[in-house]
Amino acid sequence: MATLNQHPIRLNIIGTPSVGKEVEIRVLIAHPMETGYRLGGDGNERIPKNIIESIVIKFNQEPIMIAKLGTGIAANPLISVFIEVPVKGGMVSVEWKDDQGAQGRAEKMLVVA
Amino acid sequence: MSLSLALPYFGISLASESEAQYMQNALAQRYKKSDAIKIEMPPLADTGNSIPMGIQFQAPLQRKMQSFEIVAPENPNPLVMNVSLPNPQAHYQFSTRIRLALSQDVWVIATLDDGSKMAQSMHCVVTLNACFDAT
Repeated sequence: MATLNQHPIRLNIIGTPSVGKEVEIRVLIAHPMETGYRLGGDGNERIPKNIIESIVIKFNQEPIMIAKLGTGIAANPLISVFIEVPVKGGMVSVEWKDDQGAQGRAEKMLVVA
Repeated sequence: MSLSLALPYFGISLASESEAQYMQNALAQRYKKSDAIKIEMPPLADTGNSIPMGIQFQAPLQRKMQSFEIVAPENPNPLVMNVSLPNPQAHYQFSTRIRLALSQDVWVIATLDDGSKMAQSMHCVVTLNACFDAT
């Protein structure tokens, strides 16, 4: 099925979420991360810059990581952080924004085992 | 603010060889390398388009890490990434994929909650460059 979503985002929680242990939060965003240095098909014009400027990972609406990205991050940015499992669990969410105004978000429930 | 180091870099549209060397030397002079930061990166990469990079940080006693940045001095935009943690952490593990324009020393500079900085670098050889190819 074709989808209208240009920038699919995948948010995964890896590991067993038991209290006192760490789980990995992995974010993968489908985004070209154009640097603005590459030339287009005819070799005359540069492909306009289009990069994700910020990714914010939140836990229960409280930011736990704020990343500001530059052109030095590879296409389809992948970010993985380890967090300690909180006692009650909660909602992990990710928000991103690029320099052309596109943005996206994803969320996933962290249930303590 | 940790951006103060990196902001002047944004003024340079393309780091020339001497500028990049100057930046490498300036970084090496300014920051003492610390074993508290461990960088995991392949020493040799076939292409600079996507290089996996992992960072492990263990703060000294009674200190926590507030923010860190990844700097690749020989990239056109040397500040690769700046990460700040609203809740400072004593132990932190992070990984991502970066682009490198040339073979170079990649720096990680961490800021602790008392404002002091720690750094570590690792050399990565790139056999095919990113950023400049037309494909």
